[in-house]
Amino acid sequence: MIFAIPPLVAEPIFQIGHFPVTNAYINSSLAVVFFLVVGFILRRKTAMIPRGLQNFAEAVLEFMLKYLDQVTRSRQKSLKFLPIIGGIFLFILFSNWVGLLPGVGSIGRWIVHEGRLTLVPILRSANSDLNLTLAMAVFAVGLSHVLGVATIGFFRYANKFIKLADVVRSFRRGGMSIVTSLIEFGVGFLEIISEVAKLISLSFRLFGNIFAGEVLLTVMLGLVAYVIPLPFMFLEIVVGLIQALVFAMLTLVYLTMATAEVPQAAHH
Amino acid sequence: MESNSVLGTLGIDWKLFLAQLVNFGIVLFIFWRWVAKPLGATLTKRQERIEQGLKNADQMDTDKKKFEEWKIQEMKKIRSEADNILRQTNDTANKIKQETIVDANTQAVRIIAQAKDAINVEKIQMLKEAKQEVATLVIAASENILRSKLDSKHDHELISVSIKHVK
Repeated sequence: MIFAIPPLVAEPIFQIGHFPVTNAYINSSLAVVFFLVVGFILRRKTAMIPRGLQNFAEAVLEFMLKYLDQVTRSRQKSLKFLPIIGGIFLFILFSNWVGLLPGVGSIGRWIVHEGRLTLVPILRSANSDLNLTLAMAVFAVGLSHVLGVATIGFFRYANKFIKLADVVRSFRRGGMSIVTSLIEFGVGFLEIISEVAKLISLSFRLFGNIFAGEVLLTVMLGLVAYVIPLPFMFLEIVVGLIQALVFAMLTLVYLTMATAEVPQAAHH
Repeated sequence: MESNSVLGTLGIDWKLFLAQLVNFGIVLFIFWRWVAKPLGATLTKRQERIEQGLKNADQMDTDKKKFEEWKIQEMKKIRSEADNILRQTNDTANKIKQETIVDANTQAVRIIAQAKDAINVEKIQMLKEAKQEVATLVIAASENILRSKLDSKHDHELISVSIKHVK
């Protein structure tokens, strides 16, 4: 019985100059092509009485808007965040589900690597490459900061992390407020660390779940080719949906929190 | 790939990272430009139209109710006016009828009286003419009878006497 557990790193299939085109990158490029085609078809479909694809797309958008409303509590904000959150959700969902299609991870070249015959698949689930999940996490967290600055101003936003203004004010007031402001100053540093943690948690959660799913399916298919892997396939379909939902919802929460007004400090 | 570092072990390669970021950016751009923007606008527009339609329907319902109330009030008013007009018309008609009857009676009485007068005048005239005729006839008859027996003197006396009698 030969089955190759996918390696942690996406395998390069070919090179364009110095750029290594990996199997995961091919998958994410396929997603781009898919969205390009669907977007091209949908770009002029704005009939008041929707039909076919427009009807389906509107149903998806409405479904997403309903979820967004629950977090933002404002339809205006939901409409503003929809292109980002919806795009993230659909891109991750599509990439995850495409990764489950027959042929992805199973069609490739057999090469001898470190003295062992190894299968290098041509296609690999896009989110089982940390480069993509990290890119999305950097984009999501970075965007939340950009929107935060744009919404409440640079200095007020910076004061969330470096609370120097509060410390200066507390020295004028004196007493316990100095201690409080110093503690808050320390909390500000923790906030900065938590921003880095956000990047790591977002990217590793998605990568870990999808990569683990790939490994699980490969092992199950290697053990028994028929019937037994089916429940795991269903499980991976659900995991793919849940992970897309989690990533999108967390991004939405970051965006909503970053664009929320900072409550004014109480003056004693 | 720098396989020695931690990032290298995890497969992080800045070229691939940027390429994946670009792919992700393209998807977001397509989704924003060709899907979310036009369809979001359509959804908002449709919702506004539905809300406007519902508002209009509510307004129309209110207007209809108002109109129904106004109609009922107007119908009541019109019925009441019609009843008044009918009553007035009946009264007027009855009055005219009574006046006409009285007038007709008066005229009939007058015509009858006029007719009676005319008849009396005619009757008197006729009697007068009849008397004249009879007198003429008597004279003629008396003349014829007496022509042979009376002279002119007696004749004249007899005529005078006869005329006196006739008168």
